[in-house]
Amino acid sequence: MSDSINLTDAKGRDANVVLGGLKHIPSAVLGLPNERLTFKRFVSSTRECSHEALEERLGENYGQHLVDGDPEVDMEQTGLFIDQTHTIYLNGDGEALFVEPEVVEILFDPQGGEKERRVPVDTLSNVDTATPVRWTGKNIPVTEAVRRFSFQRHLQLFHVNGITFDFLFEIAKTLHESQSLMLVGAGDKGTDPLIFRANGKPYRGFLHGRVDDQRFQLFLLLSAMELKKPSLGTSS
Amino acid sequence: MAKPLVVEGDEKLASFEVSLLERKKLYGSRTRVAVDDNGRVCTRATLINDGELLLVSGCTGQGYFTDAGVWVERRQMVPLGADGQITEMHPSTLGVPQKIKGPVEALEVLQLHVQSVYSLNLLEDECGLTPRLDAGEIFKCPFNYSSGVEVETAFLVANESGYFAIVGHPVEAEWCAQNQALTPPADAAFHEDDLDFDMF
Repeated sequence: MSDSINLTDAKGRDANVVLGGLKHIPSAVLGLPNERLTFKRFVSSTRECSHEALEERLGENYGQHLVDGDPEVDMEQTGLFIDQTHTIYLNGDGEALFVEPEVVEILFDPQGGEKERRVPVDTLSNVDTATPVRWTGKNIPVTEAVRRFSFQRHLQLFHVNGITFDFLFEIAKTLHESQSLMLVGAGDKGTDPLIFRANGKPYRGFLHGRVDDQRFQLFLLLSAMELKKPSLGTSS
Repeated sequence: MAKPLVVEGDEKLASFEVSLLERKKLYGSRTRVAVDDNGRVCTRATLINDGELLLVSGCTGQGYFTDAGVWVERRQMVPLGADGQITEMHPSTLGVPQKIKGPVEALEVLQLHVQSVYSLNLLEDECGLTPRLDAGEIFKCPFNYSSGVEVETAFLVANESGYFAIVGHPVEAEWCAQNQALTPPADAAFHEDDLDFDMF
């Protein structure tokens, strides 16, 4: 995950600055007074105790066996805490695969129907590369933006030295005075969505700035969704 | 069906049916799956105990345990403040009239750490809220879809597509000054682990 971004300003100058998350810290949590609670995974059953395995072993009507001998519980394994695990794949017959399986990408339409299967294409992070994230010049008034996009993530941009302070301060001041957000984009033309890690989720990025005397706050707001009603019964 | 969002302004009510708005409902989704030699979808399983035990879907449970290994059920837990003292549990606000505030500045919406977005269908409007939303005004009210340790804030907005509630917690950001060496707090660094990578 990239914790820095290479960004251009309105004049086309670029600089590397630090990205930080902006999150709500809950004022309360669920727990028990004076008790330390730990979240753990545990074994609740095993394959040998599944309905299919019991049916195969004991026959279709195995109800009395459950009463007589508890075959549905593995006394050795059930309740064991799970710590270190390894993920493996089982083939269509439920047997473990010892070679890496082929991976396909399935696309679904908004109604949940399968639309296409294809070979997955890996994408790389594009926010801290030699090609900077570009200032597109596309201003969107704050009043319009908040009614048009859902901003799921807030990142704050921090300076790393005096030069980058001036750089970010100027951007924040420009946006503060225009009361607008600036669309930024990746790629040579600045039209690509922002991707923060390999195969990560792409977002549209918007800069939002505020200044107070000689201090600034500059945010990168990330959106992957417009505010609109789902269409009924049509494919995307 | 969930109870409606009911807001109260000037002692009159307006109510909306709420439904969660998700990206996949608007644009569809994508997922990556493993397939075997015969093109059948593979299932994921977990190996534990150095390969001694193979666990498939449905073979694991999870929960909170005390240091003594005693399982604590969710319903036994209570909200605890930062000082470890029991605080108030806030019930769902749905179906209960909530005082509406506003119009508020659009900038306030940008200070929200968004948890969820709901699409709203108007049921009734005695307080004249919807014409004001249609005119671009923004209102806010307390909102909890289900009970929780905190009360979230919902900003009600409208556009040509309809009415929406943007729900989350307001967050405060640090100011950056030149003589201040600022680095993001380590625990607040942006982690993408909680993002859904399957969708793209």
